[in-house]
Amino acid sequence: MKTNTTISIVISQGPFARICGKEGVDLALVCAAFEQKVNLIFVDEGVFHLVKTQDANAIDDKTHDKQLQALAFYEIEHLYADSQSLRRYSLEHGDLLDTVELQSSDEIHQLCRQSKQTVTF
Amino acid sequence: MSRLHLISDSFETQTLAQKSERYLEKNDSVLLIADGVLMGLQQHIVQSLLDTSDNCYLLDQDCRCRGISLLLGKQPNGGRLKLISYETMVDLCARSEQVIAW
Repeated sequence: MKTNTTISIVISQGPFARICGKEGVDLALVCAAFEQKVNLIFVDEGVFHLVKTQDANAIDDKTHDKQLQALAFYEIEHLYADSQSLRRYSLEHGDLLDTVELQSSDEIHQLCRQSKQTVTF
Repeated sequence: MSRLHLISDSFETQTLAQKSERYLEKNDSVLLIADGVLMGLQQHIVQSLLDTSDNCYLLDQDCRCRGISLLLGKQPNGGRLKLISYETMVDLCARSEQVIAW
């Protein structure tokens, strides 16, 4: 299979309980700053980073959904969420940020296979 | 009130079943906190918890920050999980003879 120079960053940990997700987004921004193409992919509990109704004030923390919405300005154009993970938690596409594209697990597998590097958080 | 389980992770169905077998007994109370609240959106998991325990709680703050309070309300069994505050959580822990965190 032909690989391209894209870096796939896969976030599988949920927000708030751990900082892995934030680190994944930070890495995406660093990659974009160095003009690397990035796929930012959310799977398993990671899809909760994309839920629109988050309210970090409830636990005196902050969300980074504003940061996620701004990713297009950093030329990170593709935010993907695993549709099977959404089904597991009865989430719908409309519950997520508007910029998110749904992909099946097979399609995500292909995205990673075609990427030069894949990093998971 | 005898025994309270604090579950702070969102487990796969099979993992939860294994852990439940190890720790959980009939009529124990269960409080889902942190990523544990995400299991409240999984119908079959909620059902299995309710089959074991009459007292299943979710920490309200952890649901609100994750943006799932409304979604929980749409679940068929959502109403049987009681949303509680930090204060009530402290009260539950203090009143329990045993607290098991997993």
